[in-house]
Amino acid sequence: MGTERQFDGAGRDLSLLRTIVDGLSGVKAQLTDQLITVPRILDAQNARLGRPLSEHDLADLTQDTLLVLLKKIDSLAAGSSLEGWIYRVCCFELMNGIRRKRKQPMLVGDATQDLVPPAETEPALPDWEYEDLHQGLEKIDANEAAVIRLKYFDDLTFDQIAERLDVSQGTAKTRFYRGMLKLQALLSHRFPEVARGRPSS
Amino acid sequence: MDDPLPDREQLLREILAGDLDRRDPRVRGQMERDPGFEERLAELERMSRWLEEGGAEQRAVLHEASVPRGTEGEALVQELLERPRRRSRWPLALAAAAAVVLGFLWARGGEPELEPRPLELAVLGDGEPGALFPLGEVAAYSRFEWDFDLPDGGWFQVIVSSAEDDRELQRSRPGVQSSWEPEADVRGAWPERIRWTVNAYDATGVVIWSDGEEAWRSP
Repeated sequence: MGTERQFDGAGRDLSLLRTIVDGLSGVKAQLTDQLITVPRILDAQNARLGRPLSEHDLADLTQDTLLVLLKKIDSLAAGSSLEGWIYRVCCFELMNGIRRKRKQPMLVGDATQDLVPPAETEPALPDWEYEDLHQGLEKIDANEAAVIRLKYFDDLTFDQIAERLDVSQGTAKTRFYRGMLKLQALLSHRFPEVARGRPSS
Repeated sequence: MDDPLPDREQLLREILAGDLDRRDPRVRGQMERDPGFEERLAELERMSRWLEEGGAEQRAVLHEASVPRGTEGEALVQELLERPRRRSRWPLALAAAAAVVLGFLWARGGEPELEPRPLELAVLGDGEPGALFPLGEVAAYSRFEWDFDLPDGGWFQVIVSSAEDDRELQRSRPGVQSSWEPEADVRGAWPERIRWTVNAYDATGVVIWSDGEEAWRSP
């Protein structure tokens, strides 16, 4: 058995998923209504990246992603958007799946063998432009990240954000600005001029 | 002491939050006094635009994901979500109903009652949490019933589908009663065998309970 994760056919984790889904109740049960969007998000995002994964790969990845979501549901912060959280998990898992697939050795007798170019000419990994943005948001203070996400990803006004998070507008704006500064520092590779131009205090 | 930082940061915060724009005299004054201010603002705005683009992408993908895409993964999730529903209690309930029918026939010593609804309600409708009707063989799809306590602001919706091909046939208007009576001309057009689901939504529109059964009309 190799150490690499294999895309080895649908149905592998289905019984485990059923057990988890059947056991969900209360607030967590709300997640099950959103699970149908998981394969759709994976497919839509895969299409945007030039379809590096086959439909069969995506079916396997769907199961992996469902497991991640169901295991991490407790980490969903109050006030956060369930849809947005599912989207992020799907995108991260898709990128992980693409990277895992690229690392897989070619199987002997693989029907696609003649079609795959040699390793040295293999195209670069598709880039999800906003991956480091979402990773950065995972690293900064959760309250500050929540405001940034609600503003840019859920398109809420500060009035709505304050209401959602049960804080004053001033608090929401302060969290927003502090979060932006921290995000900017984490993403200095994308914004080199900022890193150079930051005032010393 | 030359300490422009608090004003500078406060202005940047207000501009980023949309409370001020570059034409504001305070912003223009800061730009004149502080040569690095404009560059800093430009970079923050650049990051803000990038975040807006990231948000737009997310909303576009989620919008695409609101429409079925007919993929293998989607079929897999549908199977996952459908199965517990289809596994529902109706085999057990049917057995219970059959036992009551037999007892009823024995007591009456006559012909079987063609309208099974009162019998089934006697079994399923009296105090059993989540009891559903119609269930199994019925004379008509005249009334749908279930048992669930709605939270304040919540509502129910019934979805009727063909049991043969899962084609959706009818959706009830949202309501707060734990029953629904479809119009006679509507239900008359339904096939012999249906599958129906009732969803309970909370005040925010999130499904908090769902159950369903399969039923068919007596020949």
